[in-house]
Amino acid sequence: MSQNNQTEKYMSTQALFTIEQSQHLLAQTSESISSIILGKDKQIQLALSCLLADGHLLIEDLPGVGKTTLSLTLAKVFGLDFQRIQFTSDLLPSDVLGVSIFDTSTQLFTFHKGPVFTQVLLADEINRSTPKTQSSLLEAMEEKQVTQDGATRALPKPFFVIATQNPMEQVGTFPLPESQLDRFLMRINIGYPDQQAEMELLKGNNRHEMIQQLDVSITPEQLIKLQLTASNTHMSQAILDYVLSLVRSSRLSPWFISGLSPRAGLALQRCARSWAFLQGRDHVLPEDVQQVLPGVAAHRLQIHPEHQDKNIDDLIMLLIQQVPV
Amino acid sequence: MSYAGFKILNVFNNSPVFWVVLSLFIVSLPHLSRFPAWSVVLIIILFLWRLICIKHKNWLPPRWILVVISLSTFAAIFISFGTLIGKTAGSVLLVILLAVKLHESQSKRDYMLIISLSFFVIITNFLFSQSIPVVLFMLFAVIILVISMLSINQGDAQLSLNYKFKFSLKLLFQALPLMLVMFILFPRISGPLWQLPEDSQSAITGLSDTMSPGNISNLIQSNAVAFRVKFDDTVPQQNKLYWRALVLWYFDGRTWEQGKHNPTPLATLQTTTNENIHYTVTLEAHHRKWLYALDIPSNVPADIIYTSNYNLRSQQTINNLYQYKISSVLEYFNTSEISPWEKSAGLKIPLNSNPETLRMGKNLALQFQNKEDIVNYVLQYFNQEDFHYTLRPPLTPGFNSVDQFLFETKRGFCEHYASSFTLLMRAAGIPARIVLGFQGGTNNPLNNIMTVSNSDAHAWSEVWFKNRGWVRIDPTAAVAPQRIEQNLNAALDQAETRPLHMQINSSFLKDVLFYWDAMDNQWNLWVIGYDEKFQQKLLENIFNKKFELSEIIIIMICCLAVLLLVLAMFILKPWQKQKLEPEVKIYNDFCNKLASRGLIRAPHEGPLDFANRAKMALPEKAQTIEQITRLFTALRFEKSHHKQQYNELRDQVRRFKIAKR
Repeated sequence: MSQNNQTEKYMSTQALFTIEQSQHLLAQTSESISSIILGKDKQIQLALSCLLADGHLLIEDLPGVGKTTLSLTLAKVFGLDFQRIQFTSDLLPSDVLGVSIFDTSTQLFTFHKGPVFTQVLLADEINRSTPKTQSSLLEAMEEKQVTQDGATRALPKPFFVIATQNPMEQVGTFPLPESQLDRFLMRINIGYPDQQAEMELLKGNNRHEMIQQLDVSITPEQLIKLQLTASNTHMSQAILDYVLSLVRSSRLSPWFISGLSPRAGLALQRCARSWAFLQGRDHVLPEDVQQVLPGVAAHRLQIHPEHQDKNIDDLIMLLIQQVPV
Repeated sequence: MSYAGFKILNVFNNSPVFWVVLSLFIVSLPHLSRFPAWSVVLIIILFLWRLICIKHKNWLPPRWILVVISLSTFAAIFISFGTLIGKTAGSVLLVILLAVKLHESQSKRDYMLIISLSFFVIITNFLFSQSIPVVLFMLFAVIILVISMLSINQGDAQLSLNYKFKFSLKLLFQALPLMLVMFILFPRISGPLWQLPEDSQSAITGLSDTMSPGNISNLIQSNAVAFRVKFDDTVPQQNKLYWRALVLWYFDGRTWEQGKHNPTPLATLQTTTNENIHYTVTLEAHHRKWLYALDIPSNVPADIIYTSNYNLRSQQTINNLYQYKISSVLEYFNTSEISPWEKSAGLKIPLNSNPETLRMGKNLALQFQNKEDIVNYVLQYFNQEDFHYTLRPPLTPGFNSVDQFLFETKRGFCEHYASSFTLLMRAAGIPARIVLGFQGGTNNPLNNIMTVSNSDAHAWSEVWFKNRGWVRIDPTAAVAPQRIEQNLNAALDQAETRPLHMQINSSFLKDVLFYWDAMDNQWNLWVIGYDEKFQQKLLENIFNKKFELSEIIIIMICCLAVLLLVLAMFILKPWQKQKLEPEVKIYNDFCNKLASRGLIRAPHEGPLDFANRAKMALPEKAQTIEQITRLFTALRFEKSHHKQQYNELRDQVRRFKIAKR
């Protein structure tokens, strides 16, 4: 096992960037994104670290704050294919995954790929569709492959789903169950821009045109390499201890119905690594863990009925404050 | 716990409500026998209903019903007891209100409150009895209470009953040393802490200060211990064991009472022997003032009143176990003249009652010259005629009870014989009086302590003979000599139904009872009898000095603190905590230096965040802070680092100085 790991590491180091190289690439990328999405550096960084950790992103916010723009920009700067599905209550799994149609000329069923066969998929208002359709997408997200009519087809690499959810409208929605929320590595809120950013937004050009004019700064191959490099960020024993005590204290805390799962702990580790990597470090600091914890934990924790009046982000801040570094 | 019981408990194991109801039920169980029937029914219904509501949540009664139940409880208790705060009344109120509270409890906090108050219910049980079985039962109750607390607080952890049981034992075991310290050192205050109004319903089983036909034979049914005696050397013969308590002068034809205070000064008694019997009496609380001593006390402690009737009185009501050392002399006489008060009181005859007896007495006075002959005649009369000694004599109602007994029923218990004998003597012109007390006692061969219980209650007569003084005459001895020579059991007819405690024939059971009695005695001496005096004596023996109350409190607090510290060490095991890494130690030094300027690193604060804060506060030191932080993070969080960095960090931190403001 350990030998296996070592060879794997050896193989991967061949394909790795140095910190300086990746910094150079990522700085360009962040800059391009920031020129489109104004005043949302923290959210961009979180979305980037989610992408670098090879995880899917859930954006929960009101309409019109730039969810679609963010995902479009991400797809553009990484030179990735982009598809968008508007989830509605009558959307069927085959609308997402694809469908086999009988071709009269060949007398055979041919599979017509659905929009899921792409590199960046924007699943808009995912909670509007029925659980059946939701789960078909979520399965594809987890397995990175689609099985239809007995044939398994791999999804392209990298494969990155950005799903959006409107937290305000509850009528006619099917909220994602906790088990499916868990498939998203991170959940972020974008929120309104500040006054200065919004003024620039009003003054600026049409965002869609601007996106079209963006240069591709990173190729998909480079992105995969960056993901590998990010996952190699060093995590010292001290940080592992810290991650573990955060997870464990969430289980002991009276505020939540149940604490973070081991999978959530692993997610926290991945995100902390890519966050630290984004900051240009080859090692993880406690601050990195603290920065990504709300994004990783907020959608995985349910507030205990006795503490319903409290805000989940505040509770996570309190959780951070309870655990010594 | 039987297997079936365990299964039932297991079904409800994870229902906190069940555990709270169970704990409340168990702590109030000993109370139920003391409570009026209506309250017992109400309490049981409330408990059962709450259990049913575990399944049917919307069957919980609305608030107004609970208010109605509570208010009617107040009213009912006031009607039953005439008070709300008496011992029993208060306990009934507490238990019912807790049972009502069960129905409106929703949160963890409510249940914890009920459990806390259940501990208080345990204390109210001790107001009634502090005997070993009660204490053992309460220990069991405490275990259940702790299990309940675990069930309330277990959250999602599905703890098994077995685990909870073991864990609660562990918790209680940890509390044991604290309990012992509290027991030994908690300041004991002599006398009751507060005066509870006596409940009208609480009846005390024990000797009463009046005597009428039937009340001693009723008392015999109880085997409760009245007092225990430890003789210093030899135990006197059974027929000499007359434990004197009260002298009754006044008779109304049916009931004997103490009457007015006897003003006669104590006469000096002459003794025929020099043999003084020395012994120690440990008296159970009987809530009266009189004390018991062998006929007749010769050497009385200073704080005990020696009355002119040759009996003893305490200054205070005996509400706790009370021990006194005393000496008695069994043979005595008095050559002085009878005092006018005693002569008139000792000859007083109630008018218009018992005419037959009075006639017989007068005839005897005419028939015999010598007073001793009269006494002997009557005793022989009891012995020869068809008189029977029985626990269940026929009723002799009204104010001619002596006549009915002497000439019709001829069946009676000691009070009948004493009463009729004394009246006959008075009618014959011999001053006579009744003495109430105990006769006999059971010597426990295990510890050589004599137990005198309610079943040894007895009444006898004293008559005045010139040159001899008051002479004890026990007419019961004439009818049933075995009562005096051995015990009551031997004196009763074979056919007589005996009280349960006298029906034990197996020697094994008798041995068990002796063991129990010995244990009970030790419990009395060491636990219940541990009072202010005992505490002072103990501390004096250990420290060789006398202590003020405040000093005892300070000693107790210190002992508790030390114990808690030891317990905490034992539980937290700080020596097992891994040692801090060297770089963390140095970094902590750095943090401490900054802390002196008010820059305190929060435990959850990462080094970068802290460095940023520090740089803002101390811009002139920004570079050093930056360097130190970088070295520290490199050492602690980076993959590879070398010794040089460590030395550099150490030196940097050593050199790092900030001027104090």
